[in-house]
Amino acid sequence: MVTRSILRFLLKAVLLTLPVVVPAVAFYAIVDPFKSVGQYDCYFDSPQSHPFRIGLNKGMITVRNYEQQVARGGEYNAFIFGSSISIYYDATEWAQLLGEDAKPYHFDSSAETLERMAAKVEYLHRRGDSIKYALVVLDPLVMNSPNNDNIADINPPELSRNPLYGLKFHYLIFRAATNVDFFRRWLPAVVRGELHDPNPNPLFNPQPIIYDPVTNSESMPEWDRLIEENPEAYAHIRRIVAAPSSASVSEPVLTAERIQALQRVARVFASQGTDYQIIIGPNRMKVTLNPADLRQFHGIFTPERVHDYTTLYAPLTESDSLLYDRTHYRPPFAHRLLRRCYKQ
Amino acid sequence: MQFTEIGFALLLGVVWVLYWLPLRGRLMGQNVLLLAASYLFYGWWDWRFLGLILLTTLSTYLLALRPSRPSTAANVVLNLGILLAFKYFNFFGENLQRLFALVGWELDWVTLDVLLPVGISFYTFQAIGYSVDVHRRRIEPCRNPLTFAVFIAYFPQLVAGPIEKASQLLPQLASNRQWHRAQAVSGLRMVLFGVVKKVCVANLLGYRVDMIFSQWDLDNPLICLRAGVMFALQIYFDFSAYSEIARGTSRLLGIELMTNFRFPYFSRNVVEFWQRWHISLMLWFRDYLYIPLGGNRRGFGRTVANTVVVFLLSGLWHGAEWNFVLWGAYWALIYPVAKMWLHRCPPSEPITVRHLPQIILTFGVVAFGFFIFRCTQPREVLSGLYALPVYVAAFVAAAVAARGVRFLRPGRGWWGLLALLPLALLQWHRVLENWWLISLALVVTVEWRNRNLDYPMERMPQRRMVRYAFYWACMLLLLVSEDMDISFIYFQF
Repeated sequence: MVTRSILRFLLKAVLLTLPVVVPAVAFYAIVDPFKSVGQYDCYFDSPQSHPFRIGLNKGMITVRNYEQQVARGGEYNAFIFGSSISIYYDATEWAQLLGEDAKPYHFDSSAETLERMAAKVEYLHRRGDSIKYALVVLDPLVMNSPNNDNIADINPPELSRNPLYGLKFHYLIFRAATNVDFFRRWLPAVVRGELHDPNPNPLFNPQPIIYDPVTNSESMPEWDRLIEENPEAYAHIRRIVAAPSSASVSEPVLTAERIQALQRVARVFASQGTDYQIIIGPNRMKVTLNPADLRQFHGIFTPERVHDYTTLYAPLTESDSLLYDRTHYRPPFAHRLLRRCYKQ
Repeated sequence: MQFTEIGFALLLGVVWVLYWLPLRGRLMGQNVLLLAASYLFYGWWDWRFLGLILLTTLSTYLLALRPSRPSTAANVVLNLGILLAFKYFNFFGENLQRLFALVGWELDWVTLDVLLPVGISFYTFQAIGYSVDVHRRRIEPCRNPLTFAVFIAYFPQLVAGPIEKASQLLPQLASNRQWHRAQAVSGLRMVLFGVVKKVCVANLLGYRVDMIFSQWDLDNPLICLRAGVMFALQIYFDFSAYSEIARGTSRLLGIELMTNFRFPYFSRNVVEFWQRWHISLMLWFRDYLYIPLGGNRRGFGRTVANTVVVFLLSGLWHGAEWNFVLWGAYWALIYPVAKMWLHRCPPSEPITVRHLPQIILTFGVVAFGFFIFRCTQPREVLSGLYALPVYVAAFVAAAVAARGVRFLRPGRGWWGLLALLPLALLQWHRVLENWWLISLALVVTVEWRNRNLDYPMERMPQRRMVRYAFYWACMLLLLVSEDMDISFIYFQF
């Protein structure tokens, strides 16, 4: 009798939540505003047809698009790892610097931390996919980012070995897709085609990205055109801060956890016999890599494979025509670093 | 792990199912489960904190087994020593440093690099209370170490109270718990309403208060007024939310905890306020400090002195900072005066709309105190003092205006709200921007409806669908609230 009363209480409590939870979950699953539930042929809609595009989790796109491309017969053995900075390293150009058998794919994420990058490398290894070539693009500023729970930055469930992680991933995105702050920005865009998306934490992605699902590459010809026409005006519109007059050395950023993450990456590369290079790129703020960190990199990956350009190329970041913002440099600059790295 | 996190909901769900299904009627099993859950809950912050709570548990348990004056004194000294070392050592050390620096002496060894364990003041006071009660022979010493360990670490009230009396909690932990559906229902209501108060009101107020104190110009008296009022609301909704979730969680487990808040912001004077605010702490100070010091039995001067001591220490109890001491001093000044003035007319009648002017004036006094409490710089306190005339004028004006409210017929307000509906629909974007005011209005309305009862959702509509609609409204507010990682304010104490 008592057990029945307890079970009835439990059942009633659960049932009582359904009128609120079910519509919310249905909205999340059907509308899928962050494209986290379904599979999509192309995650980035054209900027012409969809002027307001919600900012998505790039790490999730990278992994899901990869699985989709592989399922369709795509073959890859050359991967570019790193944060969004790496995206402007043209995968096709990079492949031309490698062997003829190189089939490139960008395996990047937003605000990629070293721990999250290690999870991606291990994921490919776990799948049994060949990593014959690899390019790792790092930056002392991004390397110091914490492993936050921002829905744009967290790793997708496919990368985790913990089966419960998927619940956390969807819970975080579900919360982001059902709160007032979301509706306050999303409803005007959907209903009236108006943009009410103030900083900080914009919901909509302002970048006019053209996406290539085959290599998971992004390009922004519209912004490139603006920059080439009038770089100063572009820098003014995008509020790109002026570069400091002198460089400054970053604090050591390689903590014990980050060193472990790099060691995990090195282990996978060693076991796959990967031909890899590591580029530590410059940034507009002229923050250079700490020598202690560079020594760690050399110790883990050997000095021949680690290319610290944070000091050498720092003066070039003053140019308004080479950067999209303070950390993201444009393809011509990336190409320059790439050629130097591969001694071409 | 916070009460408002999904992790806590999972923990509670698992504990609840195990507690009432396989372990029902098995006292030891239930207590083992409660202890494991409590240590897991506490260790989630930092497993090293468990060492301290084990030390407090072990020393208090052993020293109270054969109660005597030396053993009780030793236990009190030990517990206060731990509290002083972890909470107050740096405060006194830093002030000593400053004092010596005035005469040119450098002292750099008087501060420790220690982490403040969450809720240390709460369980230390509970342990001291037990020890003293055993010594005074008000209760028998607890012989069962498991029951006693649960008494110290019981997770619903471990990190922010209520500070339970052993005579109230220990017998419940030592006897079989019976399932009562009504108790569980009321517990779930308390949890739901507590979470709404924290997530949909206190957190959003906290975000705005932090912004005011960090970015706005407090030299503007109106901003000062706003900061004080908003923080007073934030701290109440935050702390009372915690207490309600704690009581509700405990009720779900068949254990009653004491009431910690009885609608303090509906108090008609400051003496009544202190009978309704953080009741468990005030009772602790009364029983273990005020009365042993002589209470009100040794003449007027001694009574005032004892009151001052209680308020100064209660300020310091909140934290090792000067703003808390100042807040204690503020009440040490206000309370005895109010007590002298009001001692002939203690409020015994129920609170009605007729009392609104007194309620507003009392809130004004309390809000100014909380402004001091929130200040971290002497400059902010000075800004508050400059703003005092504006404070007084604003609350007096509000109190005068409130005299008119009592002539309103009940129910007319709903029509007024209905009339605002078309405007809200037209300005839906603005409504979404300030949606937290809807939560605030809902919470205040519920509290006002239940102001003369024990807890906010005690009186619910008789009609089932209306009741359910209210639950759904609460859940909807929780669903649409933004995720803010703001800890309960009283965790730091």
